Order: sequence, then C-alpha cells, then structure tokens
Amino acid sequence: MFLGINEMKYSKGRYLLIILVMALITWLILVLSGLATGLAQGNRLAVDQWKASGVVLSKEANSNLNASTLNQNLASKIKADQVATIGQVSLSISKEDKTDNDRTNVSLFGIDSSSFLMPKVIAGKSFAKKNEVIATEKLKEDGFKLGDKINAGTYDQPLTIVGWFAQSTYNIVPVIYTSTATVKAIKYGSSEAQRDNINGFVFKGTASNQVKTPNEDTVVLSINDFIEKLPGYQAQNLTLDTMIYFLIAISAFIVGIFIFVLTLQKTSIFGVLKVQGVPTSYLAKAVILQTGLLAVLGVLLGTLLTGLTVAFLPDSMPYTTDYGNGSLYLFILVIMAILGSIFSIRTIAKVDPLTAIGG
Amino acid sequence: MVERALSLKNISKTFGKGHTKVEALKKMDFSVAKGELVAVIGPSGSGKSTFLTIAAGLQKPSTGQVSIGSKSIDAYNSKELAKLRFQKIGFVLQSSNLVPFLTVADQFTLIEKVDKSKKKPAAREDILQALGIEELKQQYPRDLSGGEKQRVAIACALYHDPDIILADEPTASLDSERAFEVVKLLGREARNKNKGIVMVTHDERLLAYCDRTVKIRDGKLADFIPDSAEV
Ligand SMILES: Nc1ncnc2c1ncn2[C@@H]1O[C@H](COP(=O)(O)OP(=O)(O)O)[C@@H](O)[C@H]1O
Ligand SMILES: [Mg+2]
Repeated sequence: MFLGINEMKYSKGRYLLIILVMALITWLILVLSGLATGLAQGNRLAVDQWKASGVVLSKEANSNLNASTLNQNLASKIKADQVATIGQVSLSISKEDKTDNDRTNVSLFGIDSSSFLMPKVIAGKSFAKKNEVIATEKLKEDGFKLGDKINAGTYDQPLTIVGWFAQSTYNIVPVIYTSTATVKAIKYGSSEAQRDNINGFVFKGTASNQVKTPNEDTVVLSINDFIEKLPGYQAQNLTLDTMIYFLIAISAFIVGIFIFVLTLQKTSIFGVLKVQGVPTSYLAKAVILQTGLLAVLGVLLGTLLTGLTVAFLPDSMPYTTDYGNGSLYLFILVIMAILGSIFSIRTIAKVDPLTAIGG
Repeated sequence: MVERALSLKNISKTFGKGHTKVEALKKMDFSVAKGELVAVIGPSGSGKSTFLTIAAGLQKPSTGQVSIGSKSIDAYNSKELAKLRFQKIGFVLQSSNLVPFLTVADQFTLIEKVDKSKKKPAAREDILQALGIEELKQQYPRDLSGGEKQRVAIACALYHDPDIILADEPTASLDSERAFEVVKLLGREARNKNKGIVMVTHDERLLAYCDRTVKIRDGKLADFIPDSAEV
C-alpha cells in the first residue's frame, strides 16, 4: 500500500482520471439501477400492495388482466382463503372543467370495498355510491383535489374523488379504485350480455399451486408469474439489467487496461526495485491494493454523484433507490476492477531486473 | 586467512549461439575479502557489468560457482535470490536506482516496509549525514542533481547494512570532486563496517583510493599495474 499511495500522491492526474472514470461508471450504474427499480416498482406497486398469492384469469387473456374476462360467479369455485373479484380498465382522466389536452393516464380498478384489495383511505372516505372513486394521492401532483368531478375516457358520467390512499401505480400510471359496478359501467356500458362479467379474481392466504382452476377456460397464476407477465415488465427489467452488467464488465476492462498501461510504464522502476531485492509478491500486492483503493474511491465518488443527481431528478422520472442491489453492484464493481488488475501481475513477474541495469 | 565476502570460481558466461555467440566471461576467478574495496576496470564491452550482475545473482553464469560469504548461491531460485539481494547485497547502478515517486526519506521507508526480518537498519541519519544529503529528505528524485541522486542511491544501498556492495560505475554521473568523495566513502564503509565492496569504474584517478584493482579484458581477469604511481 505504501508504494501505491505514494505513487498516487505523486501522479495525481492520471490516478484522478481513473477514479473519475470509475466514478462516472458507478454513477451511470446506480442511476440505471434506480431507474430499473423505479420502473419495476411503478409497474407492480399496486399488485405488491394487494399482498396476494395469485390470480385467476381467462385462458385466452395470455396472463394479461386487462384482456381477461370471466363470469364473476366463478368466485365461489375458487378454493382459496380469500378471493376478490377485480375489474380493470386503463383510461385517461381530466378535471371536468379542463380541456381534453390536459389529461392524465390512470389505471382504474373495480373492487368490492370490503375485500382485501381495498387500500387504506388516508383522507376523505371510501367509495359508496356509484361513480364515487378513491385515488392515489399521487394524483394531487396533477392538481386533482378531493371532491373533484372528473371525466373518465368516453364514460358519459363524471366520477367524483371522495378519498385518497397512499402512493400506488400499475403499469407506471396512478391507480384509482372504485366499485365493480362503476368499472363495469365504464367498460361495458349497459350491455346486458356482459352483466355478470369481470376481469378476474385475486386470491390470498392460499399458495397458488394449491388452488385449482375453476374451469378449463381459466388459468391460475402465482402473483410472481403475474407480475413477470405485466405488459413490458420483463422486457424493461431485462434491458436495464443487461445494461448494468455490461457496464460492470466494461468498467473492469477499462480499469484493467489502465492499470496494465501504467504497469508497462513502470517496468523500469519494478526492475530497479527487483535489483534491490524487493520481491515480486510485494510489487504485485502494491498494484492490486492500489487498484482496490482506486476502485473504492471511484465507487464512493460515484455514489456521492448519484446522491446529488437524485436530488435534482424530475418527479416524472420513476427513480427509486435500491440500497440492496446498489451496494451489490458497487461490490461487484470493486471486485471486477481488482480482477482487471490481475492481468498486470504477469507483467510484473516477468520484469527482468537485468533490464534495469541496461548493459 | 581473511574472510571472503564474495567469491566467483571458474565463471564463464556465453550469450547467444552459433555465429552470434559472445563469450562475455571466460573461466574467471575472483574474490573480495571483508573490509576490502576492489576496483574493476576494463574497456567497454569487456564484461564488467556481466561480471557484476552474476556476482549479484541477477543472472546465472554458464559455468562456475558464486558464493556469498561461505554459501554457494548456485541452487537459489529467483525468490531466494531476491531475498539474498535484499538482505546481503547493495547494488548501485550507473544511473541512479531511485523510485521516481518516492521522496528521499520514503526511499528508505520503502526498504523498511519490504523488510520483514525486523533487522535494525543502520541509522538513517548517520548515513544521510555521511553522504551530505540530510537536507534532501523531502525532495523527489526529479529535484535532485545527478550527483545527489547517486549519493541517495548509495545511501539506500548502505541503509540495509549489506555484507557486500556492488557498484557499476557509480561515479559516472558525478563531477570529479564528488566522485572522489563517493569513492572515499565506499572505502570508509569497507574498512569501518567490514564490508566487501566491488566498484566498476572507467576513471583511473579513483584507483588510488581502492585497496586493489583488477582489469577485465576480453572476459578475462588480470591484476592491474598502474602506468604511474601518482594521482
Ligand atoms: N544479455 C546479453 N545478450 C547478449 N550479449 C550480451 C548480453 N549482455 C552482455 N552481452 C555482451 O557481453 C559483452 C560484455 O558486456 P558487458 O558486461 O555489458 O560489458 P561492460 O559492462 O564491460 O561494458 C558485450 O560484448 C555485450 O555485447
Ligand atoms: Mg557496463
């Protein structure tokens, strides 16, 4: 460490450069990881809040709640501890007095207010009458207030916000809960044929593999499978995770090359030290520890940079700090950087002290 | 009988093969006693550096034996040789062997860091004073003159209190006054601390300060008889 630290003090510029590169990569990785977590959470937060163990959907819906249609009377055939019907419709809303240009996309769920899907109302009251809704307080950011009358899609009657519940999103848009009847009215109008239909069922308290399908037109999905198959969810996660791991590999490569070039530049110094009898192991340790120190400093600086960035991120960016994954990435970064430096050990071992004497 | 610090027996060194073959050393015998400063002279390309590096275990002879003290080093591997060099041999290069990113003081600290044997190094201040470089402790090698660098390099070689000092043209970058001082210092080290010192040089004016001079010509060693007695 003595050699490494003194060299870094002496050649501040080049080592600051490596630290900076490490910091920038760390920064990019942490921001990406935060966005990945934020996006994933934005997709699934409402589902997580249900604390359900599985769902029952129609077979042809391809695991997509929105595309599923089932007869609500099937509920009695689902043998689980708690079963709740759920209707879902994605639409855009606006305040009644606003123009159509100023609309907000939301996901509207139709539930029984006595079921376990019902969120805790933190202000106002629960929906009771038709066309009454409760909304995630996230909608306050868009200017919605308690008692607001809102237009919903092409539905011909205004909805009224009667209560707020905690932050909740589904498919990255804010969530609104209302009665099953209201959702049916929005989704199917007054169609007599659709009177008994609903999107699906959510169950809780019984593991999904213990629940039999109520009939052959239905499928039972565990809650995790359901989340994985949320539209776009997997593709998004896979893309971002791949980017992160590529970045980590690239950073190891860059640091490895940096250290390798610096080692090549130092061969004559290593030669001189070997003439004096300094063992290869001491020199190798110095380089590895130095790389470790550079990586740790870079990662710390990158974390600091991320902290500053997050403070300035716009609210529209679904950023969520994931401390667990974040620290894992930092750890892997440091380990990979050190692995990158191991390249150079062979070069150090091969330095012939005779070259230092130079004839 | 005097104790030997270093002895080379029947040393030959051949580089290359066929028509590029160079016989740098031919069946050479040499030894230096403790307390003795020996000068080695010879024309360029005569094998002086080859001789010195073989003595330091930096390369193996083609034939012959090298002994440090009473121990043969022929069977040592590179790790054992490094340890031997670190503990018993001070090697002073023609161009200074300093680490560019360490201050003078840290050059010494490095030696302490590498040393795990906890052998007490000869007092740093004494050596620095003897070489007149105690003012330079916080300087980096780039701020030193050639002579200062060389004196620091010699100080480093002495710091570990080695039994043997091998110096390859240590005065090449010094003006003649400094050169005389360095040779006198080496002579004092040899006599006062009972070290065996071998110095390769081009400068015949320095020979008067040495106990003995040998000459290498075409890879062979001969005693040197100076043309004139005065210096
Ligand atoms: N590694 C080597 N490979 C080939 N030839 C060498 C090598 N080292 C030295 N020689 C040759 O050995 C001879 C003696 O070299 P050297 O010991 O450096 O001489 P000096 O130090 O007296 O000038 C020279 O002819 C030189 O070219
Ligand atoms: Mg030479």
